[in-house]
Amino acid sequence: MAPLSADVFFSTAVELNQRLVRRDFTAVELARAFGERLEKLGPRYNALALSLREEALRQAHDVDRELKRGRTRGPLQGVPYGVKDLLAVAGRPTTWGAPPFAGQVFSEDAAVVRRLGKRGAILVGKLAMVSLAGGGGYRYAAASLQGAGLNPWDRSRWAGGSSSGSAAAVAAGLTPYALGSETNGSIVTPAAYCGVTGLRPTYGLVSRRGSMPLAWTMDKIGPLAHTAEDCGHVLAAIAGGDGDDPGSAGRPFHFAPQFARAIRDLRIGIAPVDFEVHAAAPMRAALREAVEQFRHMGATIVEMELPDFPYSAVASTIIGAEGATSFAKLIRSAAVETLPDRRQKEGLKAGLRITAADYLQAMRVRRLIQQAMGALMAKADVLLAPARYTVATKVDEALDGGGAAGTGIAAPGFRRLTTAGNLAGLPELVLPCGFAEGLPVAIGLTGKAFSENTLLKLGMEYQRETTHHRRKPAI
Amino acid sequence: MSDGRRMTRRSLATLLSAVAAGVAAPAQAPPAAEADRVEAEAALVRNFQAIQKVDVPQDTEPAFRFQA
Repeated sequence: MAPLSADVFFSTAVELNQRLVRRDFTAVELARAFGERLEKLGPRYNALALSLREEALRQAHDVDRELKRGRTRGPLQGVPYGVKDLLAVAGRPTTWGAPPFAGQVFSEDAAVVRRLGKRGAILVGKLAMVSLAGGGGYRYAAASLQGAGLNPWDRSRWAGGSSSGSAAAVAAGLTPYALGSETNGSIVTPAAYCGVTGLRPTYGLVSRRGSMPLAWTMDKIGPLAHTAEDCGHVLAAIAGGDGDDPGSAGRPFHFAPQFARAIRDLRIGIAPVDFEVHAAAPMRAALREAVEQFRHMGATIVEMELPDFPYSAVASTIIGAEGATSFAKLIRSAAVETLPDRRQKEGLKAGLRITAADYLQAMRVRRLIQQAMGALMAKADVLLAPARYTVATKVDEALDGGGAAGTGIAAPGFRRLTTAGNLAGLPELVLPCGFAEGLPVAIGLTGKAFSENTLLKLGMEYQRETTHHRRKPAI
Repeated sequence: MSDGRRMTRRSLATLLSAVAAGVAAPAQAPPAAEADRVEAEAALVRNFQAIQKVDVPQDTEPAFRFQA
Protein backbone atom coordinates (compact mmCIF):
# COMPACT_ATOMS: atom_id res chain seq x y z
CA MET A 1 0.00 0.00 0.00
CA ALA A 2 1.45 3.36 -1.03
CA PRO A 3 1.48 6.02 1.67
CA LEU A 4 -1.22 8.65 1.35
CA SER A 5 -0.09 11.96 -0.10
CA ALA A 6 0.59 14.80 2.31
CA ASP A 7 -2.35 16.87 1.08
CA VAL A 8 -4.67 14.36 2.74
CA PHE A 9 -3.68 15.61 6.18
CA PHE A 10 -4.98 19.10 5.54
CA SER A 11 -8.09 18.09 3.62
CA THR A 12 -11.49 18.83 5.05
CA ALA A 13 -13.75 16.10 6.38
CA VAL A 14 -16.06 16.61 3.41
CA GLU A 15 -13.20 16.19 0.93
CA LEU A 16 -11.90 13.08 2.70
CA ASN A 17 -15.32 11.49 2.72
CA GLN A 18 -15.75 12.20 -0.99
CA ARG A 19 -12.43 10.49 -1.68
CA LEU A 20 -13.44 7.52 0.47
CA VAL A 21 -16.66 7.14 -1.48
CA ARG A 22 -14.66 7.38 -4.73
CA ARG A 23 -12.35 4.66 -3.35
CA ASP A 24 -9.23 6.83 -3.71
CA PHE A 25 -8.24 5.12 -0.47
CA THR A 26 -9.93 3.03 2.18
CA ALA A 27 -11.10 4.04 5.63
CA VAL A 28 -8.50 1.71 7.10
CA GLU A 29 -5.72 3.41 5.14
CA LEU A 30 -6.98 6.79 6.25
CA ALA A 31 -7.32 5.80 9.92
CA ARG A 32 -3.85 4.24 9.88
CA ALA A 33 -2.30 7.34 8.30
CA PHE A 34 -3.91 9.79 10.71
CA GLY A 35 -3.34 7.47 13.69
CA GLU A 36 0.37 7.17 12.94
CA ARG A 37 0.70 10.89 12.33
CA LEU A 38 -1.08 11.71 15.58
CA GLU A 39 1.16 9.33 17.52
CA LYS A 40 4.29 10.66 15.86
CA LEU A 41 3.60 14.40 15.86
CA GLY A 42 1.06 14.79 18.66
CA PRO A 43 3.72 14.76 21.40
CA ARG A 44 5.64 17.45 19.49
CA TYR A 45 2.83 19.85 20.42
CA ASN A 46 1.89 18.16 23.72
CA ALA A 47 -1.42 17.56 21.96
CA LEU A 48 -1.90 13.82 22.39
CA ALA A 49 -3.50 12.43 25.53
CA LEU A 50 -4.20 8.91 24.29
CA SER A 51 -3.92 7.16 20.94
CA LEU A 52 -6.90 5.03 19.98
CA ARG A 53 -5.36 3.76 16.74
CA GLU A 54 -6.20 0.09 17.24
CA GLU A 55 -9.86 0.79 18.00
CA ALA A 56 -9.93 3.19 15.05
CA LEU A 57 -8.67 0.54 12.67
CA ARG A 58 -11.42 -1.84 13.79
CA GLN A 59 -14.06 0.87 13.25
CA ALA A 60 -12.54 1.68 9.88
CA HIS A 61 -12.80 -1.96 8.77
CA ASP A 62 -16.53 -1.78 9.47
CA VAL A 63 -16.85 1.44 7.48
CA ASP A 64 -15.02 -0.08 4.52
CA ARG A 65 -17.45 -3.00 4.53
CA GLU A 66 -20.37 -0.57 4.59
CA LEU A 67 -18.97 1.51 1.75
CA LYS A 68 -18.45 -1.62 -0.33
CA ARG A 69 -22.13 -2.42 0.15
CA GLY A 70 -23.02 1.14 -0.84
CA ARG A 71 -24.26 2.08 2.61
CA THR A 72 -23.39 5.73 3.19
CA ARG A 73 -23.90 7.63 6.41
CA GLY A 74 -23.07 11.19 5.50
CA PRO A 75 -19.96 13.33 5.19
CA LEU A 76 -18.25 12.18 8.39
CA GLN A 77 -18.33 8.49 7.54
CA GLY A 78 -14.86 7.01 7.60
CA VAL A 79 -13.24 10.34 8.53
CA PRO A 80 -10.90 10.31 11.56
CA TYR A 81 -11.33 12.75 14.43
CA GLY A 82 -10.10 13.41 17.96
CA VAL A 83 -11.79 14.48 21.20
CA LYS A 84 -10.72 16.63 24.09
CA ASP A 85 -9.83 14.37 26.99
CA LEU A 86 -12.84 15.44 29.02
CA LEU A 87 -15.15 13.29 26.92
CA ALA A 88 -15.58 9.72 28.07
CA VAL A 89 -14.60 6.82 25.86
CA ALA A 90 -15.75 3.56 27.39
CA GLY A 91 -13.02 1.47 28.94
CA ARG A 92 -10.20 3.92 28.23
CA PRO A 93 -8.70 6.58 30.50
CA THR A 94 -10.42 9.96 30.59
CA THR A 95 -8.06 12.16 32.55
CA TRP A 96 -9.67 15.61 32.37
CA GLY A 97 -6.08 16.76 31.82
CA ALA A 98 -5.35 16.45 35.53
CA PRO A 99 -3.06 14.14 37.53
CA PRO A 100 -5.71 13.30 40.16
CA PHE A 101 -7.82 11.73 37.39
CA ALA A 102 -5.04 10.08 35.41
CA GLY A 103 -6.45 6.60 36.06
CA GLN A 104 -10.12 7.46 35.62
CA VAL A 105 -12.12 5.12 33.36
CA PHE A 106 -15.80 5.33 32.47
CA SER A 107 -17.98 2.48 31.30
CA GLU A 108 -19.93 4.44 28.66
CA ASP A 109 -19.03 6.70 25.78
CA ALA A 110 -19.96 10.36 26.00
CA ALA A 111 -23.16 11.14 24.09
CA VAL A 112 -21.25 13.07 21.42
CA VAL A 113 -18.81 10.19 20.85
CA ARG A 114 -21.74 7.82 20.49
CA ARG A 115 -23.50 10.15 18.05
CA LEU A 116 -20.42 10.52 15.88
CA GLY A 117 -19.99 6.75 15.95
CA LYS A 118 -23.47 6.39 14.51
CA ARG A 119 -22.37 8.57 11.58
CA GLY A 120 -19.41 6.30 10.94
CA ALA A 121 -16.81 8.78 12.23
CA ILE A 122 -13.52 7.22 13.31
CA LEU A 123 -12.11 8.27 16.69
CA VAL A 124 -8.31 8.11 16.49
CA GLY A 125 -7.29 9.75 19.73
CA LYS A 126 -7.96 11.77 22.82
CA LEU A 127 -6.43 15.22 22.90
CA ALA A 128 -4.71 17.17 25.63
CA MET A 129 -6.36 19.94 27.57
CA VAL A 130 -5.74 22.36 30.39
CA SER A 131 -6.37 20.60 33.71
CA LEU A 132 -10.06 20.53 34.59
CA ALA A 133 -10.72 22.82 31.61
CA GLY A 134 -9.12 25.63 33.57
CA GLY A 135 -11.51 25.47 36.53
CA GLY A 136 -10.24 27.65 39.36
CA GLY A 137 -8.16 29.71 36.91
CA TYR A 138 -4.50 29.07 36.11
CA ARG A 139 -1.36 31.08 35.68
CA TYR A 140 0.69 29.12 33.17
CA ALA A 141 0.03 27.24 29.95
CA ALA A 142 1.78 24.26 31.54
CA ALA A 143 -1.34 23.62 33.65
CA SER A 144 -1.93 20.30 31.92
CA LEU A 145 -1.12 16.63 32.30
CA GLN A 146 0.82 16.74 29.00
CA GLY A 147 2.52 20.08 29.62
CA ALA A 148 1.87 23.35 27.82
CA GLY A 149 -0.04 22.99 24.56
CA LEU A 150 2.37 24.16 21.86
CA ASN A 151 1.23 26.11 18.85
CA PRO A 152 1.92 24.46 15.47
CA TRP A 153 2.68 27.88 13.97
CA ASP A 154 5.40 28.54 16.50
CA ARG A 155 6.20 26.11 19.27
CA SER A 156 7.41 28.90 21.54
CA ARG A 157 3.78 30.05 21.62
CA TRP A 158 0.78 28.61 23.44
CA ALA A 159 -1.91 26.71 21.54
CA GLY A 160 -4.53 28.38 23.75
CA GLY A 161 -6.81 26.76 26.25
CA SER A 162 -8.46 24.89 27.45
CA SER A 163 -9.06 22.84 24.26
CA SER A 164 -5.34 23.08 23.47
CA GLY A 165 -4.80 19.64 21.94
CA SER A 166 -7.97 19.83 19.84
CA ALA A 167 -6.90 23.07 18.16
CA ALA A 168 -3.25 22.08 17.77
CA ALA A 169 -4.20 18.70 16.28
CA VAL A 170 -6.39 20.28 13.60
CA ALA A 171 -3.88 23.03 12.83
CA ALA A 172 -1.03 20.52 12.43
CA GLY A 173 -3.10 18.15 10.30
CA LEU A 174 -3.12 15.41 12.94
CA THR A 175 -6.90 15.04 12.82
CA PRO A 176 -9.24 16.59 10.23
CA TYR A 177 -11.49 17.86 13.01
CA ALA A 178 -11.80 17.56 16.77
CA LEU A 179 -14.25 18.17 19.56
CA GLY A 180 -13.51 20.73 22.23
CA SER A 181 -15.53 22.31 24.98
CA GLU A 182 -16.14 25.85 26.12
CA THR A 183 -17.25 27.28 29.42
CA ASN A 184 -15.72 30.72 28.88
CA GLY A 185 -13.44 30.89 25.83
CA SER A 186 -12.03 27.36 25.65
CA ILE A 187 -12.94 26.81 21.99
CA VAL A 188 -12.66 30.42 20.87
CA THR A 189 -9.16 31.02 22.26
CA PRO A 190 -7.35 27.93 20.92
CA ALA A 191 -9.16 28.16 17.56
CA ALA A 192 -8.01 31.76 17.21
CA TYR A 193 -4.45 31.11 18.36
CA CYS A 194 -3.99 28.05 16.15
CA GLY A 195 -5.75 29.46 13.06
CA VAL A 196 -8.54 26.91 12.80
CA THR A 197 -12.29 27.29 12.49
CA GLY A 198 -14.14 26.74 15.77
CA LEU A 199 -17.79 26.74 16.74
CA ARG A 200 -19.16 27.25 20.22
CA PRO A 201 -22.80 26.19 19.90
CA THR A 202 -25.77 27.68 21.71
CA TYR A 203 -25.99 26.45 25.31
CA GLY A 204 -28.09 23.30 25.44
CA LEU A 205 -27.84 22.38 21.75
CA VAL A 206 -25.26 19.62 22.29
CA SER A 207 -25.56 16.99 25.01
CA ARG A 208 -22.85 17.03 27.68
CA ARG A 209 -23.59 13.55 29.00
CA GLY A 210 -20.28 11.83 29.58
CA SER A 211 -18.39 15.13 29.61
CA MET A 212 -16.52 16.59 32.58
CA PRO A 213 -18.80 19.02 34.42
CA LEU A 214 -17.10 22.32 35.21
CA ALA A 215 -19.96 24.82 35.30
CA TRP A 216 -23.34 23.26 34.61
CA THR A 217 -24.96 26.50 33.49
CA MET A 218 -22.19 27.38 31.03
CA ASP A 219 -20.53 24.22 29.64
CA LYS A 220 -20.84 23.60 25.87
CA ILE A 221 -19.26 21.11 23.47
CA GLY A 222 -18.38 22.06 19.91
CA PRO A 223 -16.17 21.34 16.90
CA LEU A 224 -12.82 22.68 15.71
CA ALA A 225 -12.10 22.04 12.03
CA HIS A 226 -10.52 23.42 8.88
CA THR A 227 -13.75 24.97 7.62
CA ALA A 228 -17.12 26.31 8.68
CA GLU A 229 -18.72 23.68 6.47
CA ASP A 230 -17.05 20.86 8.42
CA CYS A 231 -18.14 22.51 11.69
CA GLY A 232 -21.71 22.44 10.39
CA HIS A 233 -21.59 18.73 9.56
CA VAL A 234 -20.05 17.89 12.92
CA LEU A 235 -22.62 20.00 14.76
CA ALA A 236 -25.42 18.25 12.86
CA ALA A 237 -24.03 14.92 14.06
CA ILE A 238 -23.60 15.83 17.73
CA ALA A 239 -26.54 18.21 18.35
CA GLY A 240 -29.99 17.24 19.53
CA GLY A 241 -32.01 16.84 22.69
CA ASP A 242 -30.94 14.50 25.47
CA GLY A 243 -33.13 13.76 28.46
CA ASP A 244 -30.02 12.72 30.38
CA ASP A 245 -28.49 16.20 30.13
CA PRO A 246 -30.50 18.57 32.37
CA GLY A 247 -29.17 21.51 30.35
CA SER A 248 -30.37 20.12 27.04
CA ALA A 249 -32.58 22.48 25.07
CA GLY A 250 -34.30 19.50 23.49
CA ARG A 251 -33.83 20.91 20.01
CA PRO A 252 -32.45 19.27 16.90
CA PHE A 253 -30.05 20.96 14.51
CA HIS A 254 -30.30 20.49 10.76
CA PHE A 255 -27.33 21.84 8.88
CA ALA A 256 -29.07 23.83 6.17
CA PRO A 257 -27.19 27.07 5.52
CA GLN A 258 -28.90 27.31 2.14
CA PHE A 259 -32.11 28.17 3.97
CA ALA A 260 -30.55 30.79 6.26
CA ARG A 261 -31.17 34.45 5.49
CA ALA A 262 -29.30 35.97 2.59
CA ILE A 263 -26.14 37.78 3.61
CA ARG A 264 -27.36 40.99 1.99
CA ASP A 265 -30.25 40.95 4.50
CA LEU A 266 -27.98 40.66 7.52
CA ARG A 267 -26.87 43.44 9.82
CA ILE A 268 -23.46 42.86 11.36
CA GLY A 269 -22.57 44.87 14.44
CA ILE A 270 -18.99 45.97 15.01
CA ALA A 271 -17.28 48.29 17.49
CA PRO A 272 -14.72 50.41 15.60
CA VAL A 273 -12.65 50.86 18.77
CA ASP A 274 -11.85 47.13 18.64
CA PHE A 275 -10.09 47.59 15.32
CA GLU A 276 -8.49 50.93 16.06
CA VAL A 277 -7.42 50.59 19.68
CA HIS A 278 -8.14 47.36 21.52
CA ALA A 279 -6.62 44.83 19.12
CA ALA A 280 -2.84 44.64 19.07
CA ALA A 281 -1.52 46.97 16.36
CA PRO A 282 -0.04 44.29 14.06
CA MET A 283 -3.41 42.50 13.92
CA ARG A 284 -5.54 45.45 12.90
CA ALA A 285 -5.02 45.31 9.14
CA ALA A 286 -6.17 41.68 8.94
CA LEU A 287 -9.14 42.36 11.18
CA ARG A 288 -10.25 45.43 9.21
CA GLU A 289 -9.90 43.49 5.99
CA ALA A 290 -12.27 40.86 7.37
CA VAL A 291 -14.88 43.51 8.10
CA GLU A 292 -14.51 44.86 4.58
CA GLN A 293 -14.93 41.36 3.19
CA PHE A 294 -18.29 40.98 4.93
CA ARG A 295 -19.32 44.40 3.66
CA HIS A 296 -18.25 43.31 0.18
CA MET A 297 -20.38 40.17 0.56
CA GLY A 298 -23.41 42.42 0.98
CA ALA A 299 -23.92 42.59 4.75
CA THR A 300 -24.81 45.91 6.34
CA ILE A 301 -22.21 46.92 8.91
CA VAL A 302 -23.58 48.84 11.90
CA GLU A 303 -21.65 50.32 14.80
CA MET A 304 -22.42 49.35 18.39
CA GLU A 305 -20.73 48.18 21.55
CA LEU A 306 -21.35 46.03 24.60
CA PRO A 307 -23.37 47.53 27.42
CA ASP A 308 -21.42 48.16 30.59
CA PHE A 309 -21.39 45.13 32.90
CA PRO A 310 -18.67 43.42 34.96
CA TYR A 311 -18.72 40.41 32.62
CA SER A 312 -15.52 38.79 33.83
CA ALA A 313 -16.46 39.16 37.51
CA VAL A 314 -19.88 37.61 36.91
CA ALA A 315 -18.46 34.72 34.88
CA SER A 316 -15.64 34.09 37.38
CA THR A 317 -18.06 34.01 40.30
CA ILE A 318 -20.46 31.63 38.55
CA ILE A 319 -17.77 29.32 37.19
CA GLY A 320 -15.87 29.53 40.49
CA ALA A 321 -18.88 28.50 42.56
CA GLU A 322 -20.13 25.80 40.19
CA GLY A 323 -16.63 24.46 39.56
CA ALA A 324 -15.75 24.33 43.26
CA THR A 325 -19.00 22.48 43.93
CA SER A 326 -18.36 20.07 41.08
CA PHE A 327 -14.81 19.39 42.31
CA ALA A 328 -15.45 19.75 46.06
CA LYS A 329 -14.34 16.20 46.78
CA LEU A 330 -11.03 16.78 44.98
CA ILE A 331 -10.50 20.18 46.56
CA ARG A 332 -10.95 18.78 50.06
CA SER A 333 -8.52 15.93 49.39
CA ALA A 334 -4.74 15.82 49.32
CA ALA A 335 -4.93 14.98 45.60
CA VAL A 336 -5.61 18.60 44.74
CA GLU A 337 -1.95 19.29 45.52
CA THR A 338 -0.93 17.19 42.50
CA LEU A 339 -2.39 19.73 40.07
CA PRO A 340 0.52 21.31 38.21
CA ASP A 341 -0.54 24.95 38.52
CA ARG A 342 -0.39 26.53 41.98
CA ARG A 343 -2.75 29.32 41.08
CA GLN A 344 -5.32 26.78 39.94
CA LYS A 345 -5.13 24.86 43.21
CA GLU A 346 -5.70 28.01 45.24
CA GLY A 347 -8.40 29.23 42.87
CA LEU A 348 -10.33 26.00 43.29
CA LYS A 349 -10.02 26.16 47.06
CA ALA A 350 -11.13 29.79 47.11
CA GLY A 351 -14.17 28.85 45.04
CA LEU A 352 -15.55 26.90 47.98
CA ARG A 353 -15.77 30.16 49.88
CA ILE A 354 -18.16 31.81 47.42
CA THR A 355 -21.41 32.19 49.33
CA ALA A 356 -24.85 31.36 48.01
CA ALA A 357 -25.68 35.06 48.20
CA ASP A 358 -22.67 35.99 46.05
CA TYR A 359 -23.50 33.29 43.51
CA LEU A 360 -27.14 34.29 43.29
CA GLN A 361 -26.26 37.94 42.95
CA ALA A 362 -23.98 37.02 40.05
CA MET A 363 -26.86 35.08 38.53
CA ARG A 364 -29.16 38.09 38.93
CA VAL A 365 -26.65 40.25 37.08
CA ARG A 366 -26.39 37.46 34.52
CA ARG A 367 -30.11 37.86 33.86
CA LEU A 368 -29.57 41.56 33.21
CA ILE A 369 -26.72 40.67 30.86
CA GLN A 370 -28.95 38.22 29.01
CA GLN A 371 -31.62 40.90 28.63
CA ALA A 372 -29.04 43.41 27.43
CA MET A 373 -27.61 40.94 24.92
CA GLY A 374 -31.12 40.20 23.69
CA ALA A 375 -31.67 43.93 23.17
CA LEU A 376 -28.34 44.28 21.39
CA MET A 377 -29.12 41.39 19.09
CA ALA A 378 -32.42 42.96 18.18
CA LYS A 379 -30.35 45.67 16.45
CA ALA A 380 -27.94 43.32 14.66
CA ASP A 381 -28.18 39.72 13.49
CA VAL A 382 -24.52 39.02 14.15
CA LEU A 383 -21.79 40.71 16.19
CA LEU A 384 -18.29 40.69 14.72
CA ALA A 385 -15.20 41.21 16.84
CA PRO A 386 -11.61 40.02 17.09
CA ALA A 387 -11.77 36.49 18.49
CA ARG A 388 -8.70 37.41 20.55
CA TYR A 389 -7.09 40.82 20.88
CA THR A 390 -3.52 39.53 20.80
CA VAL A 391 -1.82 36.74 18.88
CA ALA A 392 -0.89 33.56 20.76
CA THR A 393 0.96 34.30 23.97
CA LYS A 394 4.42 32.93 24.74
CA VAL A 395 4.37 29.52 26.34
CA ASP A 396 6.04 30.63 29.56
CA GLU A 397 4.14 33.90 29.87
CA ALA A 398 1.96 34.37 32.97
CA LEU A 399 -1.63 34.30 31.78
CA ASP A 400 -2.99 36.30 34.70
CA GLY A 401 -0.32 38.96 34.46
CA GLY A 402 -2.56 41.88 33.65
CA GLY A 403 -3.63 40.96 30.17
CA ALA A 404 -7.13 42.01 31.11
CA ALA A 405 -6.01 45.40 32.30
CA GLY A 406 -7.24 46.92 29.09
CA THR A 407 -6.05 49.80 27.04
CA GLY A 408 -7.02 52.63 29.32
CA ILE A 409 -9.71 53.54 26.80
CA ALA A 410 -13.15 53.98 28.30
CA ALA A 411 -15.05 52.62 25.28
CA PRO A 412 -15.61 48.92 25.89
CA GLY A 413 -16.11 47.90 22.28
CA PHE A 414 -16.66 44.15 22.16
CA ARG A 415 -13.63 43.25 24.27
CA ARG A 416 -15.70 41.09 26.58
CA LEU A 417 -17.97 39.69 23.88
CA THR A 418 -16.85 36.08 24.30
CA THR A 419 -17.59 36.21 28.03
CA ALA A 420 -20.88 38.03 27.43
CA GLY A 421 -21.82 35.45 24.79
CA ASN A 422 -21.03 32.60 27.15
CA LEU A 423 -23.10 34.14 29.94
CA ALA A 424 -25.99 34.56 27.52
CA GLY A 425 -25.58 31.10 25.99
CA LEU A 426 -25.05 32.47 22.48
CA PRO A 427 -23.16 30.71 19.66
CA GLU A 428 -19.85 32.01 18.30
CA LEU A 429 -18.01 30.99 15.14
CA VAL A 430 -14.26 31.66 14.94
CA LEU A 431 -12.79 32.23 11.48
CA PRO A 432 -9.09 32.67 10.68
CA CYS A 433 -8.68 35.99 8.89
CA GLY A 434 -4.95 36.47 8.40
CA PHE A 435 -1.61 36.59 10.16
CA ALA A 436 0.37 39.02 12.27
CA GLU A 437 3.99 38.42 13.24
CA GLY A 438 3.69 34.97 11.66
CA LEU A 439 0.82 33.96 13.94
CA PRO A 440 -2.86 33.50 13.14
CA VAL A 441 -5.43 36.25 13.58
CA ALA A 442 -9.14 35.42 13.77
CA ILE A 443 -12.53 37.04 14.02
CA GLY A 444 -15.46 35.80 16.04
CA LEU A 445 -19.05 35.99 14.83
CA THR A 446 -21.58 35.88 17.66
CA GLY A 447 -25.18 35.15 16.77
CA LYS A 448 -28.59 34.85 18.33
CA ALA A 449 -29.42 31.67 20.23
CA PHE A 450 -29.85 28.74 17.81
CA SER A 451 -28.75 30.83 14.81
CA GLU A 452 -25.88 28.46 13.94
CA ASN A 453 -27.00 28.14 10.33
CA THR A 454 -26.71 31.90 9.87
CA LEU A 455 -23.20 31.94 11.35
CA LEU A 456 -22.13 28.92 9.31
CA LYS A 457 -23.50 30.42 6.11
CA LEU A 458 -21.51 33.59 6.76
CA GLY A 459 -18.44 31.51 7.54
CA MET A 460 -18.77 29.33 4.45
CA GLU A 461 -19.25 32.35 2.20
CA TYR A 462 -16.27 34.10 3.82
CA GLN A 463 -14.10 31.01 3.33
CA ARG A 464 -15.18 30.75 -0.31
CA GLU A 465 -13.86 34.27 -0.80
CA THR A 466 -10.64 33.93 1.22
CA THR A 467 -7.81 31.44 1.73
CA HIS A 468 -6.67 32.12 5.31
CA HIS A 469 -8.17 28.84 6.53
CA ARG A 470 -6.18 26.93 3.91
CA ARG A 471 -2.75 28.03 5.12
CA LYS A 472 -0.68 25.32 6.74
CA PRO A 473 2.09 25.61 9.30
CA ALA A 474 5.49 24.11 8.51
CA ILE A 475 5.43 20.80 10.34
CA MET B 1 22.35 59.70 81.36
CA SER B 2 23.95 62.19 78.99
CA ASP B 3 21.92 64.12 76.44
CA GLY B 4 23.48 62.01 73.70
CA ARG B 5 21.93 58.88 75.16
CA ARG B 6 18.52 60.33 75.92
CA MET B 7 15.74 58.71 74.01
CA THR B 8 12.90 60.88 72.87
CA ARG B 9 9.42 59.51 72.20
CA ARG B 10 9.97 60.08 68.51
CA SER B 11 13.29 58.20 68.42
CA LEU B 12 11.78 55.39 70.49
CA ALA B 13 8.89 55.06 68.06
CA THR B 14 11.29 55.07 65.13
CA LEU B 15 13.44 52.41 66.75
CA LEU B 16 10.51 50.22 67.65
CA SER B 17 9.04 50.41 64.16
CA ALA B 18 12.47 49.65 62.68
CA VAL B 19 12.85 46.66 64.98
CA ALA B 20 9.35 45.54 64.25
CA ALA B 21 9.96 45.83 60.53
CA GLY B 22 13.28 44.02 60.84
CA VAL B 23 11.84 41.17 62.84
CA ALA B 24 8.64 40.92 60.89
CA ALA B 25 10.08 41.13 57.40
CA PRO B 26 11.16 37.51 57.03
CA ALA B 27 7.90 36.25 58.50
CA GLN B 28 5.84 38.52 56.24
CA ALA B 29 7.48 37.32 53.05
CA PRO B 30 4.83 34.78 52.17
CA PRO B 31 5.74 31.47 50.65
CA ALA B 32 4.63 31.23 47.03
CA ALA B 33 1.61 29.07 47.81
CA GLU B 34 0.46 31.55 50.43
CA ALA B 35 0.82 34.37 47.92
CA ASP B 36 -1.31 32.41 45.46
CA ARG B 37 -3.94 31.81 48.14
CA VAL B 38 -4.03 35.48 49.02
CA GLU B 39 -4.29 36.44 45.35
CA ALA B 40 -7.07 33.90 44.68
CA GLU B 41 -9.09 35.23 47.60
CA ALA B 42 -8.42 38.82 46.63
CA ALA B 43 -9.73 38.04 43.17
CA LEU B 44 -12.97 36.73 44.68
CA VAL B 45 -13.39 39.93 46.67
CA ARG B 46 -12.72 42.08 43.60
CA ASN B 47 -15.34 40.11 41.71
CA PHE B 48 -17.93 40.51 44.47
CA GLN B 49 -17.24 44.23 44.68
CA ALA B 50 -17.64 44.65 40.93
CA ILE B 51 -20.90 42.72 40.99
CA GLN B 52 -22.25 44.70 43.94
CA LYS B 53 -21.80 47.91 41.98
CA VAL B 54 -24.40 46.85 39.42
CA ASP B 55 -27.77 48.45 40.02
CA VAL B 56 -29.99 45.36 40.07
CA PRO B 57 -33.73 46.07 40.20
CA GLN B 58 -35.38 44.50 43.26
CA ASP B 59 -37.59 42.23 41.16
CA THR B 60 -34.69 40.68 39.20
CA GLU B 61 -34.64 36.94 39.66
CA PRO B 62 -31.45 34.96 39.10
CA ALA B 63 -30.96 33.60 35.60
CA PHE B 64 -32.49 30.15 35.36
CA ARG B 65 -32.41 29.93 31.60
CA PHE B 66 -29.08 30.08 29.93
CA GLN B 67 -29.80 31.27 26.43
CA ALA B 68 -30.63 34.92 25.69
